[in-house]
Amino acid sequence: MKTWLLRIILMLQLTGLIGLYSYHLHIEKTAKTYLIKCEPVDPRDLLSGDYISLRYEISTLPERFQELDYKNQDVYITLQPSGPVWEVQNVGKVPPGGGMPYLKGQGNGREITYGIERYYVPEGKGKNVPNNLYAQIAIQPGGTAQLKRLYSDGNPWPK
Amino acid sequence: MTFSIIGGLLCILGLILLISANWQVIPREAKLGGLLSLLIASTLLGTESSRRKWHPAITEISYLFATALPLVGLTLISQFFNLRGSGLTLVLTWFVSILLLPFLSFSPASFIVWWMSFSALIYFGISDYHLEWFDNEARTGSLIYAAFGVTTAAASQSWTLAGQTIQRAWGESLGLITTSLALYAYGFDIYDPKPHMSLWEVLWSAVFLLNLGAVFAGYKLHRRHLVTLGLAIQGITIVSFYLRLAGSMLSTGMLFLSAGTLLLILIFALHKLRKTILK
Repeated sequence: MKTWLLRIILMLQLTGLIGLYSYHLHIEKTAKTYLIKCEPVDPRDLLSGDYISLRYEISTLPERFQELDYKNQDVYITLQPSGPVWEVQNVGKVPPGGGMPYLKGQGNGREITYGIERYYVPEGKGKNVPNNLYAQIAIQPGGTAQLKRLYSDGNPWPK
Repeated sequence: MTFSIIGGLLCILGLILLISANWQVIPREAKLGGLLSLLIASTLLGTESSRRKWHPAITEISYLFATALPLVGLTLISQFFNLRGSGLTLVLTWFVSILLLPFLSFSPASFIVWWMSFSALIYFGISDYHLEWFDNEARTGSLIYAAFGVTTAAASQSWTLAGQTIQRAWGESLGLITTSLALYAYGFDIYDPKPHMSLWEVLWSAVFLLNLGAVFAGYKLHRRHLVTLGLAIQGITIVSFYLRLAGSMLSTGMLFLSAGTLLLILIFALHKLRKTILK
């Protein structure tokens, strides 16, 4: 009985891990992607290794918008194209309609985080990071973003 | 057995470091497949080894891997997809995935890792939610950990019902260390502008008395680990008291000399006392 229960737990663990992997793989492969300008800094995570910490152009609300009057609450940023990249068109507390792509973030004053501020790189590759970085992100239907790849000068980075 | 567990822990650390190197020449599927195979192998080896009464070290190392590998899997997937969830979500998912493992496997190694994940869960809960029930986060954390230590030691008694005295001993030891450290560290936030009247004296005395109680309980219930641990923490408390009281009055040389002498006397006296108690 005990052995069977342990095997059921193992099956649940495997299903959970494979399910999590498949879910994010599905988003990465099927969701529409957008380019957003960003700039890097380079710390290291003990468990997952080197990563680039990213700050996006859309991480700060443009001056034309009023500062958000709440802390760490969900905000919805509507995107609009500006050449090859996408930038902030509007900001609101509810998901926008009209078919425009939007991102769900956490607002705090003028700062917004989207949960895509880390990009894991092979060990040692995070030392010489170019400044002209563009992030390709996939957006899920609810506006949650997933960082797919970084580009510099039109080429994937790091090579 | 202890060395086997340390060896197993080193292997897991090595695995984590290998994963953190993020070799992109190895396909994601191969990395995940390797990890899942290791998870399957460790759980099956643990159950088989336990059933066939193989050497306990094999069982323990297997279950150690089975308990730690789900966390490695979660960090691997977060690395693949550049996910930046909160520490609380990561540890909570890991904790839930191993929730019943120590109680079904009866493995001490599994129980220790389970307890560590629970402990980490509390830490992330306090820091992510910025809990400030008592002045600030640090003090709130100290008091919650003090209560957690007592609860661990008390709840560990239920292992007796299952005849698992090793887990009970580990639970008591971890509980005693946690509560002592939490009380000892309470009020270390020296930047707190509020003056408080010698709170540390009360708390460190409480640590001393708590461990005196542990030594007494160890003597009465024939639990050597409580006697040893209780006396060791009492020794640390006595030296700490001395350093804090005499630290500002003596020159550095005299302080080191007197503290060293006190420590040597304490080690000798506590060792003799321990032998007498355990006789």
